[in-house]
Amino acid sequence: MADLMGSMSIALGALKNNQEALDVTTNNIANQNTPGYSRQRVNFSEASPIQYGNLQFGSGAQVDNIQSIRDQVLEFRINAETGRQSSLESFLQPMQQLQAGFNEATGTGLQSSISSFFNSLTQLSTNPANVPMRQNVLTAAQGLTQAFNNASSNLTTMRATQDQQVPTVVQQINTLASSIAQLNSRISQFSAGGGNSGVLEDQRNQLIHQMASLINVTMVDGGHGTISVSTAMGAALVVGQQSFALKTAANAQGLQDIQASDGTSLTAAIDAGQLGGILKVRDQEIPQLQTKLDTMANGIATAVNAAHTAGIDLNGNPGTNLFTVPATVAGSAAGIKVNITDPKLIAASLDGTVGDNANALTLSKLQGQNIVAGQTPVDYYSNTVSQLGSDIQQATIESNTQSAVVQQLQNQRNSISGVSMDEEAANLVRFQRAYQAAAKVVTTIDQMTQTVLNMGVGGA
Amino acid sequence: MTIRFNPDLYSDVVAGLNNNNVQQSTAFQELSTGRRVQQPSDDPSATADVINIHWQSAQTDQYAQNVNNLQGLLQTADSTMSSVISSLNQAISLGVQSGDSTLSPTNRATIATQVQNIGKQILTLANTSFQGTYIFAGTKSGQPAYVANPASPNGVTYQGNSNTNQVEVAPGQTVTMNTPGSQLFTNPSGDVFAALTNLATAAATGNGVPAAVDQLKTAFDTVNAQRTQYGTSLNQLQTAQTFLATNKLGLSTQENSAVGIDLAQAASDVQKALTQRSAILAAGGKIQNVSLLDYLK
Repeated sequence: MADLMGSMSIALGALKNNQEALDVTTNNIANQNTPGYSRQRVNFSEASPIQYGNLQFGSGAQVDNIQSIRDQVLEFRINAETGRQSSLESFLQPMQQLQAGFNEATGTGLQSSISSFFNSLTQLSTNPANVPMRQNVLTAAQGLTQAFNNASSNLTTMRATQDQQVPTVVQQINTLASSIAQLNSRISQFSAGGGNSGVLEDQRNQLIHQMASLINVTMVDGGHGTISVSTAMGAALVVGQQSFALKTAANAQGLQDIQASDGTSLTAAIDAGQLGGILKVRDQEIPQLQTKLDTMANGIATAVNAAHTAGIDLNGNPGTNLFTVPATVAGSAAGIKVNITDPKLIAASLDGTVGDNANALTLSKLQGQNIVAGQTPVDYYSNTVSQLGSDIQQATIESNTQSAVVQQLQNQRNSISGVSMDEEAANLVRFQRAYQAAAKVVTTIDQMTQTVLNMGVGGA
Repeated sequence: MTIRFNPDLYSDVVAGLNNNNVQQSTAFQELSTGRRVQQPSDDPSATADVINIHWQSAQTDQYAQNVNNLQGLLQTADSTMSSVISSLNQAISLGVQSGDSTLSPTNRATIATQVQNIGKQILTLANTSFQGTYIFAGTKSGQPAYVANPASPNGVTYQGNSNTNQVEVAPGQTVTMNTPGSQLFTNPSGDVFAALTNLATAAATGNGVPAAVDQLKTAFDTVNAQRTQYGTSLNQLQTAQTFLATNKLGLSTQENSAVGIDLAQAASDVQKALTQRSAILAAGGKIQNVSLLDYLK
């Protein structure tokens, strides 16, 4: 059908195609800085040819589809690595605060209180009947118990702060899950109708990305263009077009337990995303430190009490406990108190005479003995702080590595899906020229048609 | 198909600048504090060392304070004993003087009174207290070491005991803080008060003076021998003081090598970070100043 009108319709098709291509180019340029945007491409194909006798004529080009350029596997990988990174970040932030309380490098911490207490006893040994020196011992003992109480209550507060974040994050996860399910539903409708759902897929990827930064996320292709998302222990968050909300409930300790929609506890299995970091601080680091503080408070109090009750006070009576601690190790740091208020009740003497310093000497020497879990108080404490420091150091190194990995993957993603201005500029020119050429064809055919119409006029 | 590159180079620039900021602030912080370790996570094992060093340092300070306290006490005791010795010397001269058979009873009575006064004086010295503690009463130091007791043969009663206190002045090193009066003044091998009482009696009567003088001399020797304990303790304190000062210096050197900075290194780190920053900024400024769009006019 090699006729004028045939050419005209091919040219009109080309005009329309190139205009669409320009639309896509413009959209790419407009979204150059949109997070999660994947550049789009117009896929052209030849229209079916027309048979004319034994000749085949092309019938122009058609737009097959508008394709978003992305590597879904890479997107999944980015999600996983981001989850790890945000877990480390949400772990490090409270841990930095935590270590500030143990910042012995600059001289603030429990060590000075413990030192002061034992040194006040050393001082008392130089003048055991001296009441101001006895008062010093009581003041230092108060300082020590206060330091333990404060350190312990700081940990408790910190733990509560971590705990309070849990329901908020779970709420965010649930909101994201329901949005993802909705997008799944729209995308499957589109793909059923053969439509382009690139923008919706971008949005969905963005949401999954956000979700991965909050909690463990595993993604599976759910068919019909949907993506199913599950979390720790395989608990489903999104299956096709349906979302499943996580729940929180207070556990025996009054802390938020995260549960799947069927009530299974997931708390122990969550180790990625912001929640992973929060839970690691709440359920591992803080309890560990708390136990160490308790062990220290209990060890010191027990040893000091044992020695103190073996001595004789200034009134000639056997010494009572210098410290009160709970019967169990747990809660010792929070519960330790000074048992006496009268400086005369300090049992510095062993033989009962007022000037005897033997028991003060024994008490002061306890600081060099293995009275805390088989170690000296200073060794136990320095190990504790060193352990805390090295946990943070390790997480910091991992976090640096992780952010380099994420950066690398983002670059890789950008090299596939990012909008390049050079490319778009070239396309702009290319489609503009093609449009101009097609328009020229229309003009030419118009002139030819004019010629045909004028054929009869001239001859009459 | 050519390999496509990441068109967004600014993300790398921003990441580079962020890293650079961290390096700069670390380097500046090190320089301004003079410490390489600001928090436990900067160097956990150095932090553990620092805790130990601070611990030892606090202990060393306390030992040094103990030494000062003890020096006061021991010097008081030592100078008291010097007074006792010179009083005893005086008593011995008086005793020798009273051995002169030509002395008049009045003179004898005067000498006897002088000897008795020396006895009273020594009793006062034996009851010396330091910061509320009677230093010659053993560990029963809450009350005077001696009270006058005319009924007793030596004229006094010892209220103290024979115990001594040990005080730690350096790790594992103890110093004896006191010598009980029962060793110094009323030692069975030379009782100062008994000797003085006997001498006063002998001087007054003129009978048995040489024996009384000998007894006093024995007592004098005993006191002299026993008081050396104070000298020994004071010497020990001196040694301890030197040790503690050296120790303290050593600890601060250790701390510095554990957490201090290498100044040259830190300064060059700062310079490196600044140079790197300029480089990143210069490179960043050049990026995509031109794109194809600039040529499509």
